[in-house]
Amino acid sequence: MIEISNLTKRYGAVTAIQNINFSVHKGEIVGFLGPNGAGKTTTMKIITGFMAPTTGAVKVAGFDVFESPIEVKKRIGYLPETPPVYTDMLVKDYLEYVAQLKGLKGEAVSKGVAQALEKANIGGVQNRLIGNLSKGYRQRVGIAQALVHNPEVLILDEPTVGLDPKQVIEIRNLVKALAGEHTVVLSTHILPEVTATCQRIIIINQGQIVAEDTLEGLSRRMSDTKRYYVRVRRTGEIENYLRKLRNVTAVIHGAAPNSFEVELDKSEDSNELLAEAVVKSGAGLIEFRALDASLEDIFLKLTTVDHAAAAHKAAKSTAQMNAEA
Amino acid sequence: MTKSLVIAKKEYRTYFTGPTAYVVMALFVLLMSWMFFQILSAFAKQSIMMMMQGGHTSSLSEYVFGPHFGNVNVVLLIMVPALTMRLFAEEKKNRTMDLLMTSPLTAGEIVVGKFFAGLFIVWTILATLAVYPLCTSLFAHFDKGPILTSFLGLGLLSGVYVSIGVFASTLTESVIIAYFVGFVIELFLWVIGWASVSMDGATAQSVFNYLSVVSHFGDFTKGMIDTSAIVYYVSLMFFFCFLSYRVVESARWR
Repeated sequence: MIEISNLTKRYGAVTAIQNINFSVHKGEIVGFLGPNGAGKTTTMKIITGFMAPTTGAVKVAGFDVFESPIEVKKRIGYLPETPPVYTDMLVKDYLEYVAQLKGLKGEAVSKGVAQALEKANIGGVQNRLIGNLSKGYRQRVGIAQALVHNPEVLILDEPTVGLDPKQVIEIRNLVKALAGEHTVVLSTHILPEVTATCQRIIIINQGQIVAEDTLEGLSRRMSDTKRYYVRVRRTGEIENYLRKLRNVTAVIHGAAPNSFEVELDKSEDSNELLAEAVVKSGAGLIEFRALDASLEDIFLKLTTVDHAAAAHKAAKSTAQMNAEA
Repeated sequence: MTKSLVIAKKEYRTYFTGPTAYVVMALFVLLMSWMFFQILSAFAKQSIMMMMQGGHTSSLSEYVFGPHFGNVNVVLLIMVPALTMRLFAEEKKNRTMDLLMTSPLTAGEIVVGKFFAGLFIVWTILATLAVYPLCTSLFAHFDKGPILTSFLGLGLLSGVYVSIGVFASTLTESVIIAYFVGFVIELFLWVIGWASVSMDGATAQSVFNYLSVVSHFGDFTKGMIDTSAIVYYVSLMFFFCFLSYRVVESARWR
């Protein structure tokens, strides 16, 4: 549905995104994840035809965004970072206006508005001035605006910002319900959001894609060891005792007193052996649980720059360049 | 073009959903009435003196409505950029430009929609001017022709001002800058005619005279419809709308 190839955008000397490639299939919900300033918004703005890339191409539903922008824009519903609402309009008038801008006519306008009001659950405020609405409601009006012409593709830039927890869940459910019929790309820097709604995750950092997979795939890929959390009543000799065990590769002190994070090798019975050993040691086992590599860990691992490695790489490339010269 | 109409309708309504249109219209009528009354009284006094000296009275449409519409022109110069300054600047500031730029319409359609919204609101305000000739006609006879051509001239002239205002508004997201840029461009098109005095050569003089927006307007108040003036005004509108279109379009590339 969306195909992005070799996309690069430079603002003067600053490179916002560099050589991005990915595609989104019909009916999929893809989470676009990255720290602030990673290039999420830039990428979305290019997909919607709001701005042109420096190089590269974007195709939506088979249409090139720059050759036939009108066809693409008909098929896209876009919620920017700031909901594009007119504070001096009534919610209903505003949605009617947007519907007409998107090319709906006659009965289709009122139908589209009614359906958008219902989906975003803002029927109760339809006759109120947008300027008088709370931030959460404005955000929902923004979502309704993106839905009003029933687009095939929805691009949502941080859709749950400013909403209360109950609304956040509602919006997430709404987004999930859109899957299948609509193709959704949503950006966020809130990790649970991705876990809750998306089928596939694209992690972007400093303008480049650093990972692209399903949530399970990512966790699997990131964890090459098994980690267990162990908490005991009496520390004593337990730490050394654990270190000596056959399957243990590392023991780290946990945040809580008398707690450890134990890394095991991948052998099948290693966790069983560990449990048995801790009980036998007589340290008084209180807690024992497996630690999954959470999305937070993956995210941090992928987006935190390893300065030493980067410096090494830079030095190497300069050396190479010098050699070539 | 139906989408231009959608934009024009929405923008036009926006002037009336807030106090803008009402405040501007009320103050405009107040100001114009004061000015009209002063000119009319002066004319009446002068006519009485002329009659006592045995001369003939001069024309009402030439000595009252001529200067009156000249005054309207000055007020438009100051008022129009205030009405048009928000058309694009506010959209950019409030980020609603994102909506227009990602909707299936061209930059040209957006500019045309905004231009007509501005033009119609100015025409609506100008319509209040009909009250002066109508009231005067109750107790005096005068030539109606120049009044009608003056309205035509004002309608065209306001189109030029609106197109300049729209252009100024596309340049910035600050309404103050949009106002000032619009005002200065308009004013420059007035004073560009002054060069016809400072210049030597007859050709240069007539060129600068032709470029001035006021010199053309003078003919309309005298009851003349000069096609070259119409061509001049309409081409100015096209020119500034085209510049606006280029600026809006270029936003994609920045």
